[in-house]
Amino acid sequence: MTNFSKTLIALIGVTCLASNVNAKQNMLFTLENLERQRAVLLDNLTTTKLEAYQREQNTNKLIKRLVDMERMVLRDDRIAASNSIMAKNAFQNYDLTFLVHAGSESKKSPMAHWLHTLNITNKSIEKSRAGAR
Amino acid sequence: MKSMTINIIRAKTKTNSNKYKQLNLACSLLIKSFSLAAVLILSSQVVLANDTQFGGVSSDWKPLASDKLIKLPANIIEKRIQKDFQASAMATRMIELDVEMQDGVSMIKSIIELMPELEGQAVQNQRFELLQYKSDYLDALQESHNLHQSALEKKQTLYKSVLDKLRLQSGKMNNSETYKIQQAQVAARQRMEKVIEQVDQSLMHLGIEKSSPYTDKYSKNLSQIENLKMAISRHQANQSPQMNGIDITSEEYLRQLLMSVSTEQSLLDQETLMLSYMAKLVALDAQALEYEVAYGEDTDNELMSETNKPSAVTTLFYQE
Repeated sequence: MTNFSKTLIALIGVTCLASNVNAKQNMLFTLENLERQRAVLLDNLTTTKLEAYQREQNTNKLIKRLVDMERMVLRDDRIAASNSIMAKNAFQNYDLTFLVHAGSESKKSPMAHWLHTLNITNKSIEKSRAGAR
Repeated sequence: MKSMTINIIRAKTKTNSNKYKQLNLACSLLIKSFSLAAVLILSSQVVLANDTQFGGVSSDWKPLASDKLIKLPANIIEKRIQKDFQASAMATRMIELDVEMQDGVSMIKSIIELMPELEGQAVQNQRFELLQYKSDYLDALQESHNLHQSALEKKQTLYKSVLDKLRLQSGKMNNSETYKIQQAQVAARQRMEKVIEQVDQSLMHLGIEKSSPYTDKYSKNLSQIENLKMAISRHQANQSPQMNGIDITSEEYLRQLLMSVSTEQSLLDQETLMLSYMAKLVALDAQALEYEVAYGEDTDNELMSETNKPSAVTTLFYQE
């Protein structure tokens, strides 16, 4: 084998390595971040510790972060390659995972959209009883 | 009387030994040519029933549709197969046969050019030599045809195998969970892209006018990524196979290759028929030469018949 061929093979090998660098990282990193942020948003809605103004301020900050995170998740090709149930469920339940963008579609705020998707209304909340499961 | 006849025959045999030698060879040529013609006619009807019956075994080519081959782009697959074939014993034999045939054709041409200048026994000898060269040429042509047919059969099997494996691979991919998630992500992304501007405007309504660092850098990088993608798609090592200047899929390309192989096969069948007719003509020439050597030329018979006619000899019986 000539030196030229050896160099070419080495170059191809280096390129393949470079393209697989990300393979060892956590492929669901962006989705996990989104889920964490979404949990914070829902907690922000349900918590009784906040005043209405604080809740609104926090919600706006969280929405701004969620916009970026939702876009990151939808543009991240590693998530599909992870072949995980978490990824499958995330894309199957678009309306519940991508609250900001799905809410914009239905002309609702992210929280209102979440409540609407889960069919949680004022009446159903009034009828509900607090207790241990 | 019986012994006299035998003696006459022996004497004739001695004097015409050269003629009988030619006769025997002409007979063998005749048998060979007729059998060749018969075999060729049969083989043109029963297309490529068996590739070993004509002696093409030693010059073989055994290609395999390996996994490494399937990973290559379709147009490179074709080149790789062609290169593999060219390095095989079968291709080497084909080249040898081509050289043999070229030499044979030039010899046949020179004999044909020389024939009008010759007379008597020399013409017969040249005709005999011409027949031998023609017979040798047809043998080489037949072997070459068999090798071509065998190569085409193998290419066809190989292309079919590659096509089947590609289908299997794409079928597996389409049914895999990863592929399904990928499709779901693509659909979700398309859904998101429809409302991107709407979401950005709603952020402004919320009093968040400054775009995030992610949004800024993403849009800057996006144009660069598009340029790089374009460069990759234009790169000759990454180009999809083309047919008449139009990009086509690997499967379509392989189907086209299979079609061109079957076109070559049918043309080869037609050429086999031509070869059989050529063999028949050589056989007829050999038969004519055999008759000529055995019974003499037609002009001798005419002379004999002339002397047998009483009207031609009446002058010998009277004096004027």
